[in-house]
Amino acid sequence: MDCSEFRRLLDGYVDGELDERERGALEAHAAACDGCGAQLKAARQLRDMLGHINDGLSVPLPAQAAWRSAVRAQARRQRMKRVYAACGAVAAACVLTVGVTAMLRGNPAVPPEAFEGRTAYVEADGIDGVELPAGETALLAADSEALSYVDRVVLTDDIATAQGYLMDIVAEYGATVEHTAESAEDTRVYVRVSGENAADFLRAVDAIGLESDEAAGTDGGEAPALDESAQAVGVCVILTAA
Amino acid sequence: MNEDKLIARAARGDAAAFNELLGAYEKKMYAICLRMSGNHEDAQDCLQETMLRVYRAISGFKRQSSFSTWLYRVAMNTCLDELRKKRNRPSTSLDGLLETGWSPSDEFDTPERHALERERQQEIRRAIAELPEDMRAAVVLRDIEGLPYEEIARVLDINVGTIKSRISRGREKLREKMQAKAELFDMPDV
Ligand SMILES: [Zn+2]
Repeated sequence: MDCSEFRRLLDGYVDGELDERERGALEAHAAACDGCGAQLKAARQLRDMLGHINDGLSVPLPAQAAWRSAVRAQARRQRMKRVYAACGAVAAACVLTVGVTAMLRGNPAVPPEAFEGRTAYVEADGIDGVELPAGETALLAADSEALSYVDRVVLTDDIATAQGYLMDIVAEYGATVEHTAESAEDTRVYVRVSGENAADFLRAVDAIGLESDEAAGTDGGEAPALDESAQAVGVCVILTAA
Repeated sequence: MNEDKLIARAARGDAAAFNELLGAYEKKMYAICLRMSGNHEDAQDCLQETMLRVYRAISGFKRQSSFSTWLYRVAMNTCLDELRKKRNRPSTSLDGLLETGWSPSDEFDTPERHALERERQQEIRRAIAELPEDMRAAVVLRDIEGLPYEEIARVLDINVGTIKSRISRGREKLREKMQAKAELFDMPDV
């Protein structure tokens, strides 16, 4: 084998496509020729390094959250476009208000006071030129999908930090925050998570605080048990000072 | 739920099904975006754009190719488009594009790894980021993702002969960079 034949076969060698005879000849040449020996060493090292370059790589949480919420926003826009198309331009603003309010009322995870006095909102880019009142709280909670509802109380020294952990968990499980209500006593975060992810999500939430009070019942009553067969689960996470 | 069912639901616009379906491919897609863009910030944008394109296009997915080949194709086209856009924005320097900085989630940031190994990996990542885009795409799919030549040809919509030559030239350039840092890579000086 000469140097030009070596170069011709090197990629086949790296790809494991050479037969035994070719491989032997190539290695013999590399052992005898300094230049090709260095090439072979580099080629092997390169193959090994490239093959392992993604070892231990994980998708950063902000990147996980970004595409999921972008997809959800896109889905909401498409849904509202269908509502809009069905109702016509004149009634659009009215339809949006009524439609969204109806959807909100259908979501037991969102308390009535969360949308009292509010009109509808749509994503910032609106729907086909329909302008909605600026400054309205973005709140387009429930879909037509059936929602099940549970709540969690997280006792913590530091509500802001706990809320940060919660956001990471929300991103991890592809959940979305639909509403956040802060009061002097607690911060309530209303989250929507898919039925399949709900149990894992709740386990992660339970691990945030000093201790968590499973199914405490926000209004003194017993909270309903998790229905994992629901397409989506509304979770009210109550972050409260220990 | 199996993949075919999720694809069918996602094709009807079900975002929850879509997010579950693509969640399984998220890491692979991100790795492609990261290796093509060379930094985490652009990789995040690229991943999001890829997912949105997939979401918009999934109802037209025809099963002539496997779902993963189709995803590779969308991801790669998105990466190449984003790189093109970036090139037309003159203010960005190449240094700004390179993958730098370490965070806890970064690869190879574990104590048991040697500093030398880390330095080598960093050099290789830099060398990949500096490859011409057509060679980079081919090398990423072949030597990092481990795709066979025929599948790479389908992903990039280019014939196998051209793919082979791009990979060959791309590897050669990477070897040149290694030999330029002979000491780091423990290469004999020739
Ligand atoms: Zn030789």
